[in-house]
Amino acid sequence: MKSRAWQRLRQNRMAVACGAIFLAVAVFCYLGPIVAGLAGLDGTAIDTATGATPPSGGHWFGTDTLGRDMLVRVMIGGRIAILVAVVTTAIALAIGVTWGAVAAYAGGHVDNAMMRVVDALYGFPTVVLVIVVMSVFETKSIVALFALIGAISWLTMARITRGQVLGLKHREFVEAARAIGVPAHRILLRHVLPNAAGPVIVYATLALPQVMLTEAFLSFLGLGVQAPLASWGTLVTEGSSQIVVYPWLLAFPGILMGITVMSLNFLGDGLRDALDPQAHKLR
Amino acid sequence: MIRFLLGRLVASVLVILAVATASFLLLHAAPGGPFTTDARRSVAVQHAMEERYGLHDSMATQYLRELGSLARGDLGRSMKKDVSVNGLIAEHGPVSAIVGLLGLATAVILGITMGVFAAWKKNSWVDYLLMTLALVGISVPSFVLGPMMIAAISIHLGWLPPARIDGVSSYILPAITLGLIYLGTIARLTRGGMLDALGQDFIRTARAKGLPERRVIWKHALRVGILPVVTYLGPATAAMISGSFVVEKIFQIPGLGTYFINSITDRDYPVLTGVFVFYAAILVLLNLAVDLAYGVIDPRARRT
Amino acid sequence: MLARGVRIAALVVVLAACGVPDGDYFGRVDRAEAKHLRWCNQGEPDFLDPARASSTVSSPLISLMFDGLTTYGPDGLPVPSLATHWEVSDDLQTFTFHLRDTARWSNGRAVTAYDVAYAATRVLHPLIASPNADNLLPVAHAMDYFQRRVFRLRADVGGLHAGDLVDRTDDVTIPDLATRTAPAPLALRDLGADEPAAYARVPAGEPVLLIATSGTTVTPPSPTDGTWAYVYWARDAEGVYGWVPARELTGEPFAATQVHVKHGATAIIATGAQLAYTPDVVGIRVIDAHTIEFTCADPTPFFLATTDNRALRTVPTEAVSRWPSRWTRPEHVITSGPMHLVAWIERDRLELVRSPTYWNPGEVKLDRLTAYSMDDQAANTNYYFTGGCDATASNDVPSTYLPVLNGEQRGTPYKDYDVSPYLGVYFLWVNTQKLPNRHLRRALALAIDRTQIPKFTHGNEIPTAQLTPGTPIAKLSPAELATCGVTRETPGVALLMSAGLCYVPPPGLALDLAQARAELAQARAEGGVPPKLHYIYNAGSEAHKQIAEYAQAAWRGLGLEVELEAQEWNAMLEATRKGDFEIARLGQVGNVADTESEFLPLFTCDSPDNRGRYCNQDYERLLKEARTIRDRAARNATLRHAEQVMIEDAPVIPIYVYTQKHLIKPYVRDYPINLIDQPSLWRVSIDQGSTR
Repeated sequence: MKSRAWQRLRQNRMAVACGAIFLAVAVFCYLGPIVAGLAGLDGTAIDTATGATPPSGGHWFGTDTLGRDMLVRVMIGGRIAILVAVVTTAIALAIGVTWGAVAAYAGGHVDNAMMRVVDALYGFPTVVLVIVVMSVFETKSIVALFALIGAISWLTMARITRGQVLGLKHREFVEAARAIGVPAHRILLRHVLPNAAGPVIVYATLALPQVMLTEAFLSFLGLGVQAPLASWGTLVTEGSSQIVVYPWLLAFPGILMGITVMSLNFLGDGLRDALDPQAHKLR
Repeated sequence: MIRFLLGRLVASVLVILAVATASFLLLHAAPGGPFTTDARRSVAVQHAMEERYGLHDSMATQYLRELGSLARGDLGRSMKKDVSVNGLIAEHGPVSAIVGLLGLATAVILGITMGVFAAWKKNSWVDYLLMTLALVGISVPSFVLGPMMIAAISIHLGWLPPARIDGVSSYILPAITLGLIYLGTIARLTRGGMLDALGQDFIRTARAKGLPERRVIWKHALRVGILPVVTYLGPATAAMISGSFVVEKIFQIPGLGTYFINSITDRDYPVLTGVFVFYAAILVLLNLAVDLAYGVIDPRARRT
Repeated sequence: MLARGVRIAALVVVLAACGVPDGDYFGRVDRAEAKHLRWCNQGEPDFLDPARASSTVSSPLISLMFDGLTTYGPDGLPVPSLATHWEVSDDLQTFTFHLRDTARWSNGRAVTAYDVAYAATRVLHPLIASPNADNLLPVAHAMDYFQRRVFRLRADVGGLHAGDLVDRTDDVTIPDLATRTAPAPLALRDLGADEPAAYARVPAGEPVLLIATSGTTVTPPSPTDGTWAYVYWARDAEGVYGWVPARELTGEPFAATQVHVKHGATAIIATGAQLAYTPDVVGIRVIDAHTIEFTCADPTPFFLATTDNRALRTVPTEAVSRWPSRWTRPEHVITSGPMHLVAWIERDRLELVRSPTYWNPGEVKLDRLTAYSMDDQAANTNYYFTGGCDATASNDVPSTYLPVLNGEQRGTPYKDYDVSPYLGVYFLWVNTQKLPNRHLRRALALAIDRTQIPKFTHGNEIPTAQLTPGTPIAKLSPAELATCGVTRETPGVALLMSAGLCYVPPPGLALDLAQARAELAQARAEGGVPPKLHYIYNAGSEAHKQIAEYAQAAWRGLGLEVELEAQEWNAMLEATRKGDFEIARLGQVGNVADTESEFLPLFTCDSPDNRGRYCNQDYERLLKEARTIRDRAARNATLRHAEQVMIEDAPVIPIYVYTQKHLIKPYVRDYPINLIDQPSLWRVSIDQGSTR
């Protein structure tokens, strides 16, 4: 079953290309600063005498208003952005799918109670939560950032999973499995979830760029990555405020972030098609 | 059915109570208060301002006072502007609702159409083009998209006003900007749902019966295919109607969303709790509507 | 917060609009309307009630609607308005104002000294909890009254006489002694009105608060036989005020409550029945309908400079009494200023028209003024660009537009863009308790090259190492240079004050790296350098972050490790108020052009605004000494000496003097831009069919 999915994924050229692009960006961001460091480039050295300079041989991505090398800043920003996006989405996925599937499959009062919890959390003042957690508990670490964003991103995931499972739980093959006495967790894992995976994966890929934007938003509030460290989100924010005079400050982080978001999304689509046990029957 | 509705009603009240409690506790736990200022102010004046709004009472007293007025349907009084929160919602809520509904209509009509076509023409250039567009819609934050539209349509072409609500034409840009935020997601969810639906037995049956493809897609498959969208619509609608802060800010629409955010930075406790409770109530109602809609659209999910 | 994203957006706007507009002006200049100023304010006013307003958004609107003893001149300094002239006592404590008799409210009633007294005592009443009460702080007994700590004896008690003022000596919580009840319903009405004219009726036995009685030094005399009482009834969240015959208030629920009080050296225990809580204890006295006198507890030379502010703007008793929190709505408002409010659409706009009753109609050049309440900078600038408004308030240009308006790309700035200094200073507080080593603080101040900062903020701010902000000396006129007694080559700023005075602040600790290293070495020798410094700033602005990074780099250059932390605004204010910081970026803005009242008090030991907890006895002594000096020039010299003592200790590191940025269409004439940013908009005129 799994190998067949893998095969189907490989046949999707667009998805494979996008996967490769994403990998390339990740390698660029993770190994780049090391190489640049060997070449004597440092993303933290401030030099107001130089100030902002356009891309040149010495600084391929130019320098920012404080004279820092943008290439290194973009690479380091990418590290943070990718890490935050992937880990957080994984957290949200794990919580959301479990919650939604259990609620729908259990049904009745359990379902009702669990979904009311989701409702309550939806109505929750996310921004307040973030401000309070970050300022009251004085956690400024990136780990706290992951946990927080994860904790506020799983709700929609749970609802979508529940919707899928509700539709599936009365389908013939599930009823059949139940009739022959397969235990509930096995039915969920083996029969229901794989069939519900499509929309969930689509939503997860949609969540990735959302999470990147959320991270940028938190950095905005000053509650994300602390200066002088910067993520793509903060770089795009910074860059856009200077775009008229120094367009390269937005262009490089913006383009890289755009490429990453796009490639992740198309990869997600490919995965969806590959994982969907129904889709191949059509052909 | 009545038992189900009653049960949901009780649950809804609990949800609202939880939201009220959580927003109260969270905002009071946040450092600072409604009268924290960078201006020079004597201790006596600071004390008097806080005293006027009972901020020196114990947390429990303040909480019970808030719940008490909530029970009477009174959402309290703004500490920053000395007006009733009910009044604020009555005055600014409808503006948000109009813009939100217009945005929602844009997103739903265009999004579902795009999703259906993409699923229908799966893996063709139509699919790729539509999904790339959807992706751009998702990836570009509204605080970039809105100003770009203002720049192009208001500043450069001079067709529509860049800010304020002043006549029917002022609703167009905000509605589109707001709609585009959700359009991409709706299109992609529709595509995913449709692909699932198209793979199911009843579609093959319908095809085998020789029904025209258009009818199979729009009548039979769409019924099941939009289920993920229906799920998504609950929170999306509430978010839109209660006002997307960013869009309201960019276009300077006097809606409710601004209060939502400003009350946090201002620590205007009654406004925050009041607006959140109002928002939670809408959300609970919409989710109920979504659950009911589920039963109508897909009989298999109907509750017994 | 999100506003920042929106600002970013602004940039995109300009970019997407096919680059930068050509021509001399930024946007359309063909939409002028005769005698109608469409003004982009910078947000929704919090209140239009002078007693309750605290935002800069409401100030220009309040001065349009409500007249004061003085008002803002085009240069922002006070000019005679309700008061035609005044006398100041030799001891600088008593100020007597003579009011013109031609001033009228918009309902035709004469504006009198009683209106001024009503407004001032209202600001001081604790029920209002006015944020502007501090403006009247120098007035005798003002703060005691505000805190309900001063009473007038109603009878002879224990050796004291009726009429004596007594101060509370304990801190026990007591009920409000001014509570009264009546056995019959009370008919609240205007002073002297007949009972049927009542606008509210208090049921029998309901408690009311006695605010004042007729015929005191701050209230009008009774127009009938017998005294009248002005009471407050807490009918609902808003409540209502009104006059009733005093004899009807027979019930005194707290007559027996005991209070420890003293008069001079005599301490007694008095009961509620013997004490009156009344506004006539405050140092305000109405001599006749057109003369009013203020008495300050100490010599207060800057009192005159504060008479144009919100705390002394007249308010209409009849409207305030009926609708205590809604009286500024257009359907209720009664105005005394140059313009009258006719529409207030919340978070959208206010419409004002020329007031038919204003005493000085010749000075009002506008028939109509529309003030748009948009709070987003980009939206305001866009609205201006498309010709929606004719002029913008001082803070309506997003940072993203600054390089464009400066003409950094096309070479010349736009002619309708104005950058002027603002009476505010951007600075870093240094917590002297967390960083007690003076040499370390001096090293921090000496290491920053402020001149580099405007290069990346693009706001043309004025780099400064001086605390007191002002106009750059290089930009003063020859006459002003003479007033200040400096030459054009003198570096720094000067603060032009009222009455032809000028304050030139001491130089402060400007960039000197060699000196900084020496100070740091000294600090290290004394063991006063922590391994890591902590710098907090408020999130949401690119400039704050860049300045933090810039300072961090400068201090790293000295070998100091600095950690930056962005905090949410309210959280940061709370942290700095509690002293929970080492270095914090903040600023101080002055409401009047006077450093003695606006900037220097920040650094006194017991000031609640002294976030850095700085305390220096020499500084205290000099400030105290200055208060007694009658000669203003000599006084300024002492103040300058005090500022010098303080700035040399570096409890604060000034960075720049703020600037205000205005966009003003060429057909708008006489737009009053001034240092304190109080534009007297009624002086503006519209010149159609002309370009400047």
